[in-house]
Amino acid sequence: MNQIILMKDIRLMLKDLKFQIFFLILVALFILSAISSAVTYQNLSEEFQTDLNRHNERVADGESMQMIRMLQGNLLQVVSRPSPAVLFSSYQTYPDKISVGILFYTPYFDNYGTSTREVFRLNWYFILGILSGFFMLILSFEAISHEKRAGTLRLMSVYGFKRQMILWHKYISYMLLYLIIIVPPALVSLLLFFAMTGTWSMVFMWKFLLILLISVPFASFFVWLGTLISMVKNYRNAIVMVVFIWLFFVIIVPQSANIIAKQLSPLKTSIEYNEMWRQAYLEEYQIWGDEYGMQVHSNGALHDGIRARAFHACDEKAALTKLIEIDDSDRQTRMIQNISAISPFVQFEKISEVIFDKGYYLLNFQQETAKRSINQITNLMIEQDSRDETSLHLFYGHANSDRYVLSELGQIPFSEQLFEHPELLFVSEIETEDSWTKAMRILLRLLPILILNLVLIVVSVVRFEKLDIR
Amino acid sequence: MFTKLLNHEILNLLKSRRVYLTVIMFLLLFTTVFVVRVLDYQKQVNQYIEDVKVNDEAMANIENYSHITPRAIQEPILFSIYNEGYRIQRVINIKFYEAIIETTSINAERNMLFFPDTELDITFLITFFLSLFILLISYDSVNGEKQVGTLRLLMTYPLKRQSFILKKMLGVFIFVAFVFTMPYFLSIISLMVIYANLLTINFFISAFFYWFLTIFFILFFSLLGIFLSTCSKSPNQSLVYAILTWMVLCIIIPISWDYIISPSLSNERIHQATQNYHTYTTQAKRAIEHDLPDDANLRLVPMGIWTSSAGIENDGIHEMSLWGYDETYEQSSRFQSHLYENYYPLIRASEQAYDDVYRVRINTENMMNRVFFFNPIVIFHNLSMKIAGNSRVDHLVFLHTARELRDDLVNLGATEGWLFDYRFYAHFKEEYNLGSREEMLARFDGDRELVWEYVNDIEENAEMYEMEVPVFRKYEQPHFTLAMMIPRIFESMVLFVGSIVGLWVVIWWRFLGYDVR
Repeated sequence: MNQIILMKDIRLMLKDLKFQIFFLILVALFILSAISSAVTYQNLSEEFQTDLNRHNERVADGESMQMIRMLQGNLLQVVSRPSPAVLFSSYQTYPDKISVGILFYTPYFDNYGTSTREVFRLNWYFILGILSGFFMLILSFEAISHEKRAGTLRLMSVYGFKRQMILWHKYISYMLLYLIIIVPPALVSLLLFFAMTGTWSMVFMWKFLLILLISVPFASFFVWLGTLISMVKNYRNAIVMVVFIWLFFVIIVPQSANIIAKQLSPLKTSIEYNEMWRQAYLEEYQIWGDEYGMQVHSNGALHDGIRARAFHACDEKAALTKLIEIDDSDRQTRMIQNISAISPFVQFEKISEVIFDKGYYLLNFQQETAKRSINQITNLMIEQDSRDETSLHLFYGHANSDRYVLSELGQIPFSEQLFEHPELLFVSEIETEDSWTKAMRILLRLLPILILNLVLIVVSVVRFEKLDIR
Repeated sequence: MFTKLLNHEILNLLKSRRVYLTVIMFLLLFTTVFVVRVLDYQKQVNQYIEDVKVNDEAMANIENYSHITPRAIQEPILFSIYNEGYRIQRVINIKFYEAIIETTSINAERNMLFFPDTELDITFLITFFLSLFILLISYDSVNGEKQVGTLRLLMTYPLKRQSFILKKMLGVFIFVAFVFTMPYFLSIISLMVIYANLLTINFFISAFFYWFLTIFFILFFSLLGIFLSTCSKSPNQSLVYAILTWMVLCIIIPISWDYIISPSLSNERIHQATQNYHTYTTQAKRAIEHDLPDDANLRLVPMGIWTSSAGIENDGIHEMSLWGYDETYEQSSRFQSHLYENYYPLIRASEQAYDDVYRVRINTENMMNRVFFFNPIVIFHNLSMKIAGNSRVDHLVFLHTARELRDDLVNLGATEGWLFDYRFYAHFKEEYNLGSREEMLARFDGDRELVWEYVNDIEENAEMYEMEVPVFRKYEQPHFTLAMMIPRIFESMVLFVGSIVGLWVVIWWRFLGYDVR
């Protein structure tokens, strides 16, 4: 008997014009998303390749890799290599490229593909995260009202079907439909993307399948919401409610989060941060100047290393203000995230960040990698420099400019030899967490949507039990 | 009879809970987006004030002619609250020999770790949501009446079909137009109160044309909703058609253009234009590196007495101050002439080449307008930028204006002579010139340490060079007039009106043969 009801529901839904049209729309959107993401992927790959080529040119030019020159400028690059994850989302809300100097952690954050920002991009996140929820709401907002209007609800009740059973069968049918309209076009989209970009990878195949699986509780939330709405008297009014709920989560919550967080956790302006940097530098310079006088101020006395130590200390103090700037940005970003987490759509994207190693999730590991690389490169440079007899072994940012002072004496502040490990200056492999920890993170992110599902189930069941089905 | 029906239609809409909810939603969204945009605008204004202050301070502290590096600072456009347009930073640094191809910022409040994908504006609200709302209100306007039987009843009265469909269209149109106009004018009035001192004629022209454009947009979608409701028997079916149509117009067409059609049309030309730009910049770089004659090479003159860098680095000319030997002055003068004759023309050519990239993009945008003349969303996006004055064309005009200012300044320097003599990089008064280097060494029997001490002594006591700041043209924000606005939007408006008339004819024709049973 159960099977009969289920089959009836599924057949009815399959015949429904709404379902057929949504299916066609989704097929079109998934195919378009593969094509547009392939274009984006190629553009990002070109930008990445340009960066890599620039690094290789620097390695080859015979000057940039001189250790004394490496002490100035942002030579270290820690970048996130473009991957098929772009099919899911462009992840352009967070930087994916860190350029940083060798001496201290004073990073410059940037993004691949910043030249093309649109209001929305057509990718899986837009389809699965935003549109499919809307579709499930539109599909299910008549789930009960339609049966009631047609009188079949009353009929089924006469036949002795339990109300709960009717509700669950509706739900299962909708979820099956969800899989029907999502999985085949998604797989076509994935294969098309792989074919267009030549990036076939079993790992990414599994990741995308996992994303499809994780989208189920989100779709389920909207199905329950639609079902609940379908129990109200005027079902046409309900559609407006449906759109409102969708808009609330898609637009109002993320946008409000942005505004509220900016008000609660404001940032200083770039001039104020620059002033902080300047002040910190000058104060430290003053301290050293007061203690050592001309040994610091003049550029003639380099041998005793005091001038180098003074400048190094000044740079270090200034670098600390950069960390304050990063901390302020990070605090504001976390606040935006926490507020926008109310929206299931945002949660879905956050989960994808963990799966694909992208976005804000990756950024933290990227920063850690940059800091580790600085330490490693510093140690290697100091060790290599210690073998150079012409060097005074003064490890500081002004070494390159000061070398002219010593040129006539045949000595240099720091070694001019080429750095023996230039490959360490371009990092594109960033280690994140193990699968188990990631799974826990994903589960934690999923928990709110699972709880919301439970709440909606309870409310829907209670309401349906009390519904006047005449 | 017609007026009665029209009143009846509007009253019906007012009584409908669905419409009521839609209006509340729209007003809520409008208010949210408006508040966000006003807060953003206020920040931009604060930054602008600060930017101007920084620029004025810098210009008040110039010590020689090379320090004349004014900035073109664009005042935030008040109407950008409604339409953000082509997003750019608002400052251009005008330097004597530097290519002007992009804008920058002086005093931005920027989160280093968070780059929001989108800033919502009223245009997005209109194209994305208002279009959906109109379709949701009107998708059952004809077949809904047919379903409940009132359409058949009405047709038994002496009422022409044309009148019925006209009142349906007018009912939806007047209602939505009112729903939009009310918050729109309230928002305009509130801006007039808050930013009374920033109001310009531009704002009022933009506000009027924007409203006018939106009214046309509403008319189109009202017609579309009614057309869809005549395309199917049941309202549920037309609801699906409505959503499908909305998705095609709003999402599928723009995305297909952006990612599939546009790249295939313009990528090759953009690539070619970018290559041309790189060719000129490479030639310019050669002009100050490899092709620099020895007698104009600043690296070949004594460096120890330069108070700043040698003026040339790998990526271009750097600011510097000059004081030293006669040889240094002479070399500097020849270097300046070399820049003016060989480097500067290449820089200007590179700018022209870079403009071609913009032009290709602008042409592609215009072509999209013509190809998708039937899509009001595409036309609205394009027109609203032109109306607000923040389109890609306006950005190009901003770059051109800044370049004109720079060219004027360079020509002024060439005419008055200070561009080529010691005054350009002067540090101390001319009377403190050290004379020839050879003479100086001879004076101290070749003892460099003694020369160094002497130079240090002069440096400590010498009086700074005092310059007379020349009168040069400063940046002024362009104002467009009514006469300028009409040519900007004429072509798109004609296409838009044409598509509205076409749709109306189709509905008219379709409803004449509509089965009302």
